[in-house]
Amino acid sequence: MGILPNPTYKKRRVLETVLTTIFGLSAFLFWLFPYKSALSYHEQFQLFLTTSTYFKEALSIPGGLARYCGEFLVQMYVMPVFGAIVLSLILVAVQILIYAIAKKIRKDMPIWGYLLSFIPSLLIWLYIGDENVLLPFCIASVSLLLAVFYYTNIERPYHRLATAVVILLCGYWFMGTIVYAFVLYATIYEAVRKSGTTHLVVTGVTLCLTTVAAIIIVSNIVNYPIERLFNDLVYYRIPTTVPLMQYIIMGMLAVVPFLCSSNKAGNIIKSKYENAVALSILLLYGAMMAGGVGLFYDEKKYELMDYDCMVRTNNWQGIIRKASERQPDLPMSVCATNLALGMTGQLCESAFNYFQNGAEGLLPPFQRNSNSMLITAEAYFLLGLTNTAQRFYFEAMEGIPNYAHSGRCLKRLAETNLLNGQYAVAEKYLKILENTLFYKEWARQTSALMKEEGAIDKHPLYGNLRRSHLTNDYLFSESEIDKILGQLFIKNKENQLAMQYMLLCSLLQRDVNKFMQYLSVVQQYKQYNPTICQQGIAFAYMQANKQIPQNMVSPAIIERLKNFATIVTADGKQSPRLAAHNNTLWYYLIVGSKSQN
Amino acid sequence: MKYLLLIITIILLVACVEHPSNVTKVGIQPKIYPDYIGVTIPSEIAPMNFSLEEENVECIEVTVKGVNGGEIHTNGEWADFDIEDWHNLTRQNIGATLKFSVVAKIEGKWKQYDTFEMYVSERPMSDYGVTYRRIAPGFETFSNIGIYQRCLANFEEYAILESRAVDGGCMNCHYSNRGNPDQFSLHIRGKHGCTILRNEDGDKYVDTKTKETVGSCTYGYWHPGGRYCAYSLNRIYQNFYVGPDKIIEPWDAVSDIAVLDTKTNELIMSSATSTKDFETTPAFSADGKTLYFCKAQYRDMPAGYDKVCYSLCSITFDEEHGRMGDSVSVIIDVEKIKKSLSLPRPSFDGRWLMYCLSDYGTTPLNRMESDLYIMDIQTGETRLMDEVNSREADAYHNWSSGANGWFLFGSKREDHIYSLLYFACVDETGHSTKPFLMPQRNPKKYYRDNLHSFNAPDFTAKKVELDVIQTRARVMSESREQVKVKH
Repeated sequence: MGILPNPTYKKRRVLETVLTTIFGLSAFLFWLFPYKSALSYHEQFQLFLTTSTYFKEALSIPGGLARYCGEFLVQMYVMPVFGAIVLSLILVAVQILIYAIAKKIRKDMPIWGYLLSFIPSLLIWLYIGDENVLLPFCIASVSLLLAVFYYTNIERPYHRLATAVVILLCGYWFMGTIVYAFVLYATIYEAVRKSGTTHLVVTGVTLCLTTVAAIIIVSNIVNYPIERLFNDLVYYRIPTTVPLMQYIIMGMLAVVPFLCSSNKAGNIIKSKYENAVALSILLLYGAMMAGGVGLFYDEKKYELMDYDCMVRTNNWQGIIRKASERQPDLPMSVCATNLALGMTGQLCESAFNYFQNGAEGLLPPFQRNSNSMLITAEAYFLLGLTNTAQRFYFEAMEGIPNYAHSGRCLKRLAETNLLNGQYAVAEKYLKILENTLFYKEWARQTSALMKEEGAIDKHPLYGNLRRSHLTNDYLFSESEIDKILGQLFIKNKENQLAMQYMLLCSLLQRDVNKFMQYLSVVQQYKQYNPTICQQGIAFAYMQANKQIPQNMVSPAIIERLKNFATIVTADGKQSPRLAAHNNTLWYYLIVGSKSQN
Repeated sequence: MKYLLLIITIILLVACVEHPSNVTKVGIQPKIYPDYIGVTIPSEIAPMNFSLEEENVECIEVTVKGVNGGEIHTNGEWADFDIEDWHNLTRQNIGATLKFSVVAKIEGKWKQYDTFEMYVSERPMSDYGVTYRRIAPGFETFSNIGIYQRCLANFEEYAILESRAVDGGCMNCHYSNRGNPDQFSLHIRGKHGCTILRNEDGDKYVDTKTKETVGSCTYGYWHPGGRYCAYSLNRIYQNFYVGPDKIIEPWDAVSDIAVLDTKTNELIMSSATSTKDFETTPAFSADGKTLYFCKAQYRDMPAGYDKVCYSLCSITFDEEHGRMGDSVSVIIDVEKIKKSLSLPRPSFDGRWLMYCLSDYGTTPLNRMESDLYIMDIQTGETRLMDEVNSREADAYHNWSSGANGWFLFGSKREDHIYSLLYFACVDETGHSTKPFLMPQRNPKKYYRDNLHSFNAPDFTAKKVELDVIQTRARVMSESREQVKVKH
């Protein structure tokens, strides 16, 4: 018996079930483990409200129901297992529906016909690797296939046509431009059914005209440019962009059922070659996914999503572990690593074990990009620069390209206003969050906290951040961030994060004199002399041709610096022997940051 | 299925309508949101719907009786009056008082509050509605902002133009000529930036940036004749505060005043209004012969941001020859009192001039201490409008086109962040009625869920008509009429 035998009906069904299950399980594991952070990414760029107003607003645009259902499901991505289940079920549903439709067209399908039914699912799997592809596209795809299945079941030609018009009109309004695929399917179907040339032409023309007319009528109802109504409003996060892949998948959704059930192909591929063809298809799928994941799932973007997700969940050890496995080399991953080191009190101990890109690695400058602003916002928030954090969170939310709001940002905005004592606006945000499924409980608890006199000051996070608040108002300046960090430390000597950032900031700016001033301020209040500070002291003294104070710097560090100086003097800065020093401050100052690899 | 629907409908109806029984008098007036107690309203205004401030209200029943006759009732989760019944009542009681009797069911018990009143002004508010920009009170990034209009007789809001209609271009204020939407100016910024100018010749899409001027046309004000529109030409930047009270500080690097001749697309400049100092926010007097504006001594920016204080100045304008005068008169020199004056707005009957004072700077809505002041143009007397101002920023005022004393303004009094619209009326002595928040169908829910500020509001005498498809086509075409400086 071959690998894929020409099965009896029962065996064939078992085989199909096994293959579909393996497919679904693979998708589930894919999203639950290596690409879990993408779920958090999608969840944080929307705010699904359980209000009737939200429902009405969602339904007021073409594709609104797909958007509403998509957002409803995405809000549950806060539980990664659920997100993995949703995505895997959608992919499986697409495959099963394609196969079911194909079987309606041709009952005795060869095994390779079944295997071809995976094409749209696999393409969708790859396509959603683009972080801007939204779940409504997948929802709309499943809805389309359900409509197609229903349409295929109708026997009488003009009944089918009338049904198709209704599907088109309702489909466009509720599910969006996925109906283009329906027009294509219906036209091909009429040709395949050999319903007659007249009926074929009538169907094609009627459906095309109906679609165009629907969009033109809608353009007079909604305040959107007609070009966007012809493209799509809800499938892609960037409003003016429709990737070619979206159209390819739409085309595949319409065409693949016919490919699966193609008689001509069936005749060409004789049954004795069936197994070989089936095996080839499976191998092709394997190759396609192996190559496609690399192509569609941008490694750098997904690495950032991992860091962002871990910052969001305060998984500091996870960040340090990830950075140790592979050097962070993007401004945001460096920022996240430094934040994790700071939050665990290791920043001035081991910052140079990781790639550093200057002071910007601590607090990257403002960029109009929601993705990058969130990590920086979190750093400002935890430092106690509440107003600056508020700005970054607000900008991150406003910068979401499809004008959605963000549960994650709104939660933090409620907190920043609460910290600032702006209770009215904090209450406003909390009331909005009370209309969500997953932020509701937190919003209620925080609202109660706000009403309790003194509770915020006693709160472990809020109380500490409030004690760090700068009370004098002046304009924020990124170029003077070290001074602002210094003020934070002076305001609250318990603000360890600000202290570490201040000390490291001057060193990353390669200003050792400033570092020495800041260190002397710190040491007025506490005994703090970790490795990097000792390296800084040693370097400052050596630079000034002074004896390195042995009571402040350990003999091992002095010895190491002398060894470094000897190599540089003898072989220059390019010496490969300096590699042994690449995790030291002086390597950063003299040679540059340690290699990114 | 149809029985199920019927049952659901009946349940919903019954759930919302309960009638008071075993009512206890509480002997105090209710705390309502919005605070409409004692306000004066125009008879044309939409129903002044309200809720009780308390959260656990199950049902309220409100009876409104007019002193001149008429009575309406409402019963439900909040006071939601029928629009037609409301207008019948207000029309019947022009110049008289409406008495509101509120009974509320709270935690299962019905409470009867003392009645409160609203007064229906004899002064009509002749405008169709208001226009405003709805924008999240953000910093540098903006999402879907848009210019909207709202009918004041009901709750209908229409988008005039939203940024998504022009591929995300930022939109600036919509300036009409005394509320006449047949003459307006609207800026679109960004890649497809332009100024849309509408006058009797139709719509023009102009590029107001020239090599000879310091910036594009920014803050505008139409001459009553309709041919000219005064603008400040600004280069605006912004910084952000570190401390907890203030948020954002926009400032001008340079700013001048010019008048655009909309017939010839020429910018009329004057050496008196194009100096090294900062000149901004122009406004023509009611007769069009005087151009008011704000002027501050030049400072190095942003270092001197908290020392920029604007005075109220004026310069003559000759409509016939399209010329500004040569000298500037200082009307209110606020440098002496270390305050900054902004947004002079003369009333259309030429009687009053309303403006804002704040500690420094040019954008009063970002200044918590900003308050409205009113000046009698004839006597020069000026007073703080205590009866209108709040602890938070009050600014962006404009007069009703009917020259009937009604005015609107933006205020952040609700929560320090979101600017909402308020209306009030100035009497013959320059004193104002208690301001009221723009009515909404369900104001508590509307304003609680709202994540936008109502920015740069103005009255509009009639509905603004703008063909979005055509506007988009012309904005995206990038075909512009170029403005030139008149020599």
